[in-house]
This record gives sequence, C-alpha cells and structure tokens, in this order.
Amino acid sequence: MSIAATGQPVAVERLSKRFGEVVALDDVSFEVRAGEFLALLGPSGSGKSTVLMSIAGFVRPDAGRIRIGGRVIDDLPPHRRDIGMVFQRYALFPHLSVAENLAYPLRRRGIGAAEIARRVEEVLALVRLGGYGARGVDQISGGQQQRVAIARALIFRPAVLLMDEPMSALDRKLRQHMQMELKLLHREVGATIVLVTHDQEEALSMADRVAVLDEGRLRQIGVPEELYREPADAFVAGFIGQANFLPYDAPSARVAGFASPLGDALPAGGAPHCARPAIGVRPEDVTLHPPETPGTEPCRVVEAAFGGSTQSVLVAVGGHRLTARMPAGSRLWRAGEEAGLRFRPASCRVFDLPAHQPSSWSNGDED
Amino acid sequence: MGALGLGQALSGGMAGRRHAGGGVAAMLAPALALLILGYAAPMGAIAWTSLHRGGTMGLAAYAEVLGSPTFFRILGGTLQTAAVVTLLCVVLGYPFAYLVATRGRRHAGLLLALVAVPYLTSILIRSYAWIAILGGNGLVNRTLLALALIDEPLPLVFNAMGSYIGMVHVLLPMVVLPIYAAMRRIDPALPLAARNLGASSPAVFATVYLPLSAPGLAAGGVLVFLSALGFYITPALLGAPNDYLLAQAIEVRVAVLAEFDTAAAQACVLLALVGGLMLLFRRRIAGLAEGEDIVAAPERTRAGAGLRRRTLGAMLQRAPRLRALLAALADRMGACSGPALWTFGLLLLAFLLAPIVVVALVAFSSAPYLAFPPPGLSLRWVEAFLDDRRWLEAAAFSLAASLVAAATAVAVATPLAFALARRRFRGRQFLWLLAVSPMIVPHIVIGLGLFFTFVTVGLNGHPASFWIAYTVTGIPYVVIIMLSALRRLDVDLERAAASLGAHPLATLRTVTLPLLAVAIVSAFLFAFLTAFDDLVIALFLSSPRGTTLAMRMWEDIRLEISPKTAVVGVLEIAVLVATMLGTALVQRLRRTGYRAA
Amino acid sequence: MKIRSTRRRFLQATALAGLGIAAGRLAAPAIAKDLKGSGVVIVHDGGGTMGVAQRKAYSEPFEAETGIRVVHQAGVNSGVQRAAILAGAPKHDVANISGGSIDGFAQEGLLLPIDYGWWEQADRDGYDVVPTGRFHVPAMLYSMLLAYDGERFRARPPASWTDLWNVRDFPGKRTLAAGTNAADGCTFEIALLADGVAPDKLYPLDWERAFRSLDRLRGDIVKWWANGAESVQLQIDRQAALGSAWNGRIDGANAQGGKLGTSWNQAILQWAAWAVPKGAANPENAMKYMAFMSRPEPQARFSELITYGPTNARAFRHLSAERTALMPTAPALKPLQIVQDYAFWNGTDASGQNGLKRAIVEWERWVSARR
Repeated sequence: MSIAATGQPVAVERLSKRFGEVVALDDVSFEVRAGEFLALLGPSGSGKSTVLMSIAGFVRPDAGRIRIGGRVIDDLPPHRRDIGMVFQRYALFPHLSVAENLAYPLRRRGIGAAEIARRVEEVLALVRLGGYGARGVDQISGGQQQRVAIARALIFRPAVLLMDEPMSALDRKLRQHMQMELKLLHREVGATIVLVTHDQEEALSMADRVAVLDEGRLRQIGVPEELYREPADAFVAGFIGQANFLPYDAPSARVAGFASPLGDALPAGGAPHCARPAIGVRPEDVTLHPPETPGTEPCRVVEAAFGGSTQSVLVAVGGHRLTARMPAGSRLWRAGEEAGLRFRPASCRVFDLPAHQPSSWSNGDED
Repeated sequence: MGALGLGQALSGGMAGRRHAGGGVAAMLAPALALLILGYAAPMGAIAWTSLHRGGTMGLAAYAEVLGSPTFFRILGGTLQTAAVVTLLCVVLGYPFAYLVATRGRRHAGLLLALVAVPYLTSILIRSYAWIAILGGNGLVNRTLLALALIDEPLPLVFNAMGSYIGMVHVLLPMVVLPIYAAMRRIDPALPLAARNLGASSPAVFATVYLPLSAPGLAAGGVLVFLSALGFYITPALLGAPNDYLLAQAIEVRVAVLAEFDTAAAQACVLLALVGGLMLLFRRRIAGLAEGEDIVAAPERTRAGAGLRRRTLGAMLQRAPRLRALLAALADRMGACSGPALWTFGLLLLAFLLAPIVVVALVAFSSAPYLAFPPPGLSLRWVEAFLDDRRWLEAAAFSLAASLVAAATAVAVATPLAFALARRRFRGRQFLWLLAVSPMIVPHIVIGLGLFFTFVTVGLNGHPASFWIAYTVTGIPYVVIIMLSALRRLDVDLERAAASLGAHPLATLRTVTLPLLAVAIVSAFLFAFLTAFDDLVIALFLSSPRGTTLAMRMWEDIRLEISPKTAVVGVLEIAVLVATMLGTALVQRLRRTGYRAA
Repeated sequence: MKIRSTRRRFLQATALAGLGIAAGRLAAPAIAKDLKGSGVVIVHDGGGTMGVAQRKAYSEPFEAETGIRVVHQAGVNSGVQRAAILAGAPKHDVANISGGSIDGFAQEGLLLPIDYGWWEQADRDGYDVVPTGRFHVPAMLYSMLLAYDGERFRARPPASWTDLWNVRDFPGKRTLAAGTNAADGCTFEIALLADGVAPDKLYPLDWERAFRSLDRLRGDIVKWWANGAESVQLQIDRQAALGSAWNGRIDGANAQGGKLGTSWNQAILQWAAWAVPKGAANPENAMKYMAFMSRPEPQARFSELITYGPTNARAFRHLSAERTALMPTAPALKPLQIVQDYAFWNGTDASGQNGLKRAIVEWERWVSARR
C-alpha cells in the first residue's frame, strides 16, 4: 500500500499557552508512539484544540516544545512540518475538484504528474470514491467530503495525522460508520494519529490511548480500559463513562447518610486524605435487591427505564440519588418500589471533589 | 465550541509567528507610499492653505467660515439630505437584499451586479437620462398624460424628489451589498428555531432576522451617509432650484472665486466631520471589530459583542421613530409573500436600469441633438465618436491611466486589506481611515491638493500624476471590498494548504487568491470605473500630455449635450458587461479545466 | 483704456515682467507682422463647436503661416486657472478668461503684458466695442438674451425681462443662471432690469433690490441653470418655457432643429479675453498667436463658424450681411444691449468684497435660507 505511512512518534513537552487572561494550556506533556492512535478528549475550552494547533504549527506556545520523530519542530513553519490535518469542516478547497484537492499536497512537493495521477486514483479507491475525482467538492455528500479530507491528509504520507473533531458534522449513524472506517484505515496505513474530540464514546472506541484534558491541564492518559477502570480523578471518572458520586464520611467509612458501612466495596488501601472526599461508583456496579436483603441499604426506585439488554434505575437513598444499571434479564424494577442497594466489591473509589461540584451527583441519565 | 472559539482566536493563520512586524511593514509600505504622496500630502497642502491668508498664517479662513450662519445652514441642509438619502437607501435596499438572500440565491450574482450597474456609469449621462424619464415632458409624465391619469405633468425632477432619486440610484449598491453579506451569514436554522419557539412570521423577522442583519444595515447606512455628504453634481443637476450642498459651496470657492483658503477651511470642517463619523462607526463600516476580536481573548470577544448589542439596542431605544419605522418595515417584510417581494425587487431593478436603457437608446439616436425618445435609430453618433481622433486619443489615455491605476490599487491595497484584517498593529484604525476616506472627501478638494503637491514635486503635467491620483481614488474600493471578502474567507482553508505542505506564497497563489478572485475582479472594476469616470481631478491634472475622455466630454457638454457622450456611456456599460461575462467565463472554464484534469 | 504701444514701452514691460527674451531677438524682425517661428503654443480650447471654429479659423492657418505647432488644451474654469498660475504651472500659453474675471487676474499679477509689437496698428484700432488692454485682448463678444418657446408664444412673444417676470401673460416655468455664475450668468442684472431699473442706473448693482425681485420669481423657476448647455437643453426639453441663454447657444440649438425665440431687448453684452499667463512655457509664440487672432480675416472666419461676434470691427468687411445680422455687435442689435460693467464686478464695495464674492455670498445666503 503506497500510502502506508511511516508514522513517527510525537512528544509534547511542558506546553503552556495563554490567550490574554485565559490559560489555554498549563504545562501539558505526553507522548504519542509511532503508529499509535491517540485521542485528545475534553470538554469545550479544555485546551485540546490548542494542543492540536500547536502541533500543526498554527499556534505558537508560550513555553514547551514539540518533537516529531525525535526532532524539535518548534521553529518549523506549518508547511514544513509534514503533518496531515483533517479540519472540523474539512476545509476542502471549493475552487478545486476532488482529484485536485487530493493532488494538492503532491503538487506542493513537486511530484510528477503521472505519479500524482496514480496516487490520486489509489487513494480514491482506498476511501471508496473511485470515479469521483472530477466532481466538485460541493457535489458530494458530507460523508464523502470527510473521506476526501482524510485522503487528502494521508496522500502525502505525513509523519502524523491530526484530526480536529472530524466527525462532528456527521449524523450519528454515519459517524459510527466513519469511526469504524477510520479505525480500519489506521490499521491499514499505520499512521500516527492524534484525534481531538469531545465525544468520549468516539475516543474510547477508536483510540489506542486517550488523553483527557480539562481547563488546560492533562488529567490522565492511558488505554480506554485504564481510564474507565482507574480514573485518576473525579473529572475523568465523570467524563469517561457514567458515574455516581456520593459524599464520603471517612471516619465512619460510610457514604454520608447511609446506615450500612461500605464494607468490601472500597478496594484495599482505603481513602486518601481529601478536602471533599466522595466515592464514585459506576451504575453497573450498583445492584438492587429485594427490600431488607441483609447487607443492603434501603432505597426507593424513583424512575426505571428499559433499555433492551439493560435497565437503568434511578433510586433515592439517604437523601441522594444515584443510577443503577443491571441486565434486563433479572427482575425489572418499577417506580415507587422499595429496594435494597449494594455496591459490588472493590467497585468504589474515593475522589477529592472539586469545589464547584455538588457533593452528590450522577451523570448516569446522560446518553 | 472550544475548537470554534479557538479558530476565531487564531484567524490569520500564522498569528503566532515571529517577525510579524516586518511582514506587516512590507504589506503596508507600497500602499502607504502612494497614499502619502497622493493623498496625505495633498490633504496637508489643503490644511496648510486653510491656515494661510494673504501669505500670513492664521485662522482667518476658519473665522470667516465658522462665523457665517449661511455655512451652517448649508451644512445642516447637507446633513439632512444625506440622512434622507440614507433612510431611503436602507428602506429600499433592505428588502431587496432580503429578497436576494432568501429567495434569489440562485441568481444572487446577477441581481447584485445589476444593482451595481448605475454606480458604474457616467454621472452626466445618468443625470440626463433621469431628466428624460422624469421631466415635465419626460417618459413617465407623457405616459401618464396619454393614459389620462393626470391632467398636468407631475413635478418629478428639479425638486427634492429628483435629487433623492438621483442619489439613491447611485448609492443603493453601497447599502445592498453589506446587508446581503450580513444576511448570508445568518444561520438558516435560526429563523426556523424562532418560528418553532412560537414567533409569528413578522416576529421572527423582527426578533431574529433584523437584529442579526443589523451590522450590515448599519455598515451600509453609514457608507451611504458619508458618501452622500460629498455629493453635489447629481443634486445640482436633478435637485430643487434651492438645493445647495456643502460640496457645491466648496466647488464654487475653488472654481469661481479661486478663494482657496475658505474652500480649504470648509473642506477641512467637512473632513473633520466625516473623519469623526467614520471613526465612530468604523466597526460598522469596515468590520474592523471582527479583525480586533480575532486576536483578542475569547471573553473579550463576548464582552465586545454584548457591548455592541447594547449600543445598538440603546440607539434604537433613543430613536423611537427609527424603531417604529424598523418595526413597521419588519411587519411588512415578515408578512411579505414571495411574489410581493419579487414584484418589489423587479420594480427596483427597473428603476435602477431605466436610465441605462435611455442612454443606450440615445447613443443610437438619429437626431442631431439630444432628444428622447430618439426620432430614429442610427450609428451616426457611434461613427462620430470613432471618427474623432481627439476623442479616441483621450479614450485611449483614459483607458490606459484607469487600467494601470486600478491594477496598482488592487496590487497595493490588497496586502493592506490583509494586514488590516489579520494583523494587529499600532495605528491600524488610522491607516484604515486614511485608505478609505478618499472615497468620501469631495474630489475637487483632492484635485486641488494633488495639484499643489504635484507642482511641488515636479510631477505636474506628467502622465504619472494621473496614475497616482487614480490609484488613490481606487484604494478605498479595494480596501472595503477586500476586507469584507477576507472576513468571509475560511481561514481553515489556508491552514489546510499549509498543513498540506504549501509555502505561504504557494498558499496565497493556489488557495487565497483564487478564492478571492471574484472580490479582486470587482475591486478592480470599481477602481477602474471610478478613475475612468473622474472629471474633477482631471481638471487639475490635465495637460497636453494627458487629457482624459471625461474632460473631452465635459468640454463639449459645457456648451452642448450631444448624443456622442451617450456613446461613451454605452461603451462603459459594454466594458462592464464584457468584464463580468469574461469573469464568469474564466471561472467556468477554470472549473471545468480542473475537473478535466 | 487705450494703450499706444511702442517698442520701448514693450521692452520696459517685458523687463518688468522678468521675461528673459533677449533684446536682440526682438529687434531682429524688420516687419513685426512676420509671425514665423518654431516650437509649440498651447492654447485654450473652448470645446464642441467653439473648439472646431477655433481650430479652423485660427490654429490651422496660424500653423500654416508660422510653422509653430498649436496644441489645443481643454479649457478649465477660472479657479483652476488661477491655482495653476499661482503654482507656476499654467495650463495654457494662451488662456481664455471671462471679462468678469480678467481684472482680478491682472491685479494679482498673474498675466504677462501683451506684446502689441506683433500687431497691425489698424487692427488694434478696430477693437472699438471693447478696447484691448495691457494684459488682455478681447476674444469674442456674446450676449445674454431672453429666450423662449417660439411655438408656444408665437402669437405674443415676450419682449423684455419684465415679461420674463410676468407669469400671468407668459405662463410656464423659467430658468435663469444660478447666482454662483456671478457676473457670467447676468442673473442679478436681469433681476434689476425686470424690476424696472433703468439701464444707465444699473451699476452699482442694488443687491437687496435684485434679491427682492428674484423672490417674486422664485416659485416659477424650474431650475437655476449651471452651464450654457443646460440653459438651452431645459428649453428644448420643454422643462422651461422662458429663460436666459447666450446667443451662440440659442443659435446652435436652433441650427439643430430647436425652435427658440429670442429678444435682444436689454440683452447683456459680455466678452471673454485672451491672455498670456505668467509662467507660460511659450510666451513669444503665445504673443504671435494672439496677434494672428487679431487679424480681421481669421476673426471673420471664426464668426462664420459660430455666432460669437468679432472683436475687431474690421472683420465685418469679410462677413456676409446675413451673418452680420446674427452678431451681437450687428448695427441693428448693438444699441438694444447693455454692456456688462466688469469694472463694477471686479471693484470692491464698502464691505471690502469684490462683486464676484459679494454675489456668491449673497446668493448662498438667499438660496440656503429657503430650503
């Protein structure tokens, strides 16, 4: 495969950037291995796009450096960084045809016409757009436009491929389809990919590793399972997947307001010292039992939703609300029922809640 | 949204690059050099003249001007005329822009080009055509009389109405184009959202469409107002016997009295007024605000937007009549069905193009003098024009001078517009004012100042003097058109080019300039026709080595208006149409060429 | 003002003017009337038919006789002209300045004295209606007439400026020159004559009375005309039924099929002059050109081509009787007219303003007071 890239490692070292009063990046460091697919995940304003723009050379960081393949690129202008980029709205040149868009980077590199034609055809086939070369970019669908944008960013075999929310303009179904395609494509061409997204599902399903950013700081970087199983803080726990947070009373080793202690729900090692300790627990680690089952906390079902293979149940307990998710095959719960609640062994983690978060909350109702 | 905000924060591609200062200087230098020689120095000469009487320095001229109640009456009348013209342009231009933006998108290019045509035809010919249409013995009155709808000819010209018709006719494109641009930026989902939230059609218009297009409305209105302040030929030809505007008073002082100090003092007062207004409304006119926000911190952007919303709101609060008018307009517009809007649009186009039709007919008249309708058709005047060596020589000179100057204006002012739109540097607003104000300062003042300057530097009588002068008069059009085009240009396209390996110059050549091609062509066209149509500046610069076609026409027109001048008008229109068709053709060819590749 | 020119006075004059013409060169021609020379002369071109007449009557024969090339350069208004001379770069070697402005130019020292050494004395004496001056030579005579719709008023044509004011008997819109034309437009003289001021009491103009008179006609003015073309076009288009217009313009319009009637009664006789601006590039050729234009034959040819009266009375010998009858200075017409008093227009009044400035200041005040 001629566009098979020799993906290079990327090292971001102690990057900082301010826009006026706003701190966009605060001492961010991470590495991307050669051929790795890394997702930069975070909410709006987390700084993830600034990282991407810094790598691409469109933003000059105030401090820190960036290496590609071990070489510092800070002083290279964008066009000499050898980085492919897929823009949020694709940035296809409207005055050029599909084939002309694809040929563009090859022309800039002085490649001969015959070779260009060959590679354009090849890459069109790769993204399954054979025969579309002569079309105007406004004459193809959104999904096709995105494939052209990706093909254009890959055709010159860049050391790194950057993608800035490339799926955000697509509808859900097309998005899921494209996620799969992109993953396949990544495996085929072996490029180093850095993807910026605010969609945790997209990040988890596509990337080899995910870096979570918030308020300009890197919160955690790791493989998806790691982030899910062992979130470094409440932000990551809440941002990746779903979680319930309940205030934790350390001296009694209970959730505040709970009659029963947490017991084996807390993993060994106990609770570190925190200003606002809270336990976090995933909905699937919460189980509901018939009322007054020994070792359970009495609770009441507020709302229950049937979701095919699972059921989600919102319960009120000890003045808090939390979400439980269980296989639908077990007993189905109904609103108003009394129940007993239990956490799976070693499923709870203690976090220090940031000041702006309420002491108990759940993002379990989120889709 | 984070990416979007950041995108705005970064606009300008390599905003963070080092040595940006040096780049800015290189971008500004050529335009600056020409503006200094061809505009700042002449204006300096004017200011100097206004401060000298009989060889001694002093404020005598200002004392005379400002001590005269007549001056203030004339100034008041001028402001009033400009205000009425602005209001009319807004009221007529807004629905038209709305039509083009919402229902006429497929024909947007053609519709907007038709609106711009009057702007690009000779002022003398245009004015005569209006007399032929509106006069007591003109088309409209004769038709109405023939239909027995009236007994007496209606007074349609040589009164305030004639003046307003003539001015609105020319100035309408200045308000339609920015409003249209603003409307195109409105997310089509927003009116639907408002509708869905329970707003009636008029309410959607008043609460969503109107506020969102208000920036374009304000920009167009301010441009029209400022331009109208410098008008005098059209109102003098078509207006009421008692219309007497400030630019005319200045002209009389220069041309008849040769009283340069008071003329200069009046010009300086007008310039101060215009300059003050332009600075006050610079955000509206040039969209410089967006330029500033590009490099400002995100929350400042938001604060700025809030502030601007508030000031607009406050303005409307303080102007209940304006608000009432806008609301009434909103009611009409919102309720307007497609057919009604199209009828209005076509009527407006008929209004704009009627004089052009008259000019074309007169040019092919068989009558020995100017009469409308022509008794018969012939090519005698076309032949008369083509047989006249002096006219042809003048035409060749005008063509050469205007082409070279328009090309220069585009070449120097495009980088200037880039710098203004994308770089942040000290004196940006001042530079913008300097570059745009030649459009608004009465040309007789520029001509006088240029003449003093060229004599001093030894360029008097040199053909290069025309080149410099017409470059300066073309620069405002290039700056305004390019600034608005740059605002619409998606920076990501240039970033994409860079990421794909294009050197900044290659990006410019292969992406930025092709995308700006239409804007560049229209900027060139405006600059060219402004130069080609100039009469006032040529009066000062003409010499045996350089006499323009407009001067030849004027020379003849002073004594007798012959159909020969209409031939020139037709030629101008032909050039215009050919340029537009050529542009469209080239674009199509290029597109198909690329496709084929 | 009649100046008997002698070579000596001319020498003094040129010396005073700082002209660098060598005395030997001037002494050389045995016959002063030999105008042969070399180089170019840049002359004012009146445009349109006037420019054509100028070329045919003056420039082409002058080139043939002298070998000096004549360059016609578009005329500019007096303000631009003055600016150009002040800046040391006049637009023409031979300029055309209206009689109403010429004294101002001379008083400010913007003109070179005329070298009458190139002239025939008899021609100089032929300037009988308006004599030649030290700094100027009358170029052409023309008259501001009452013009009217010849068809509409065929039965009873208007015959005086008073009739122009008589809206009842002569209905229709009027047009007069805008006051900003000052002396050239004659509007103030016309207003006073219409109000019954006797021609010999016309000057100094009574401004207040003139505007009171204009007040009465104001509502019937369709438009104040700005230039000669407009004055007749308004009547040809029937926007106005009566008005003032120059005789040459009326004749031009009627020659092209117009049907304007005229009255020479109390018409205002005006003139424009040739002059050589200070700083002119080719002063000697300019003097020769002016001398050539003073000859009766070219003047007659000029008046054949356009109805502007010859300034040298000897030209009438070469003009046909029918043509002569059209000239403002035709024997039958001359006594009907009033010669405009340029001394008044250039002189200063008690307010320290000359007539031109006064006219414009008063006009602006009057016009702007009633919008």
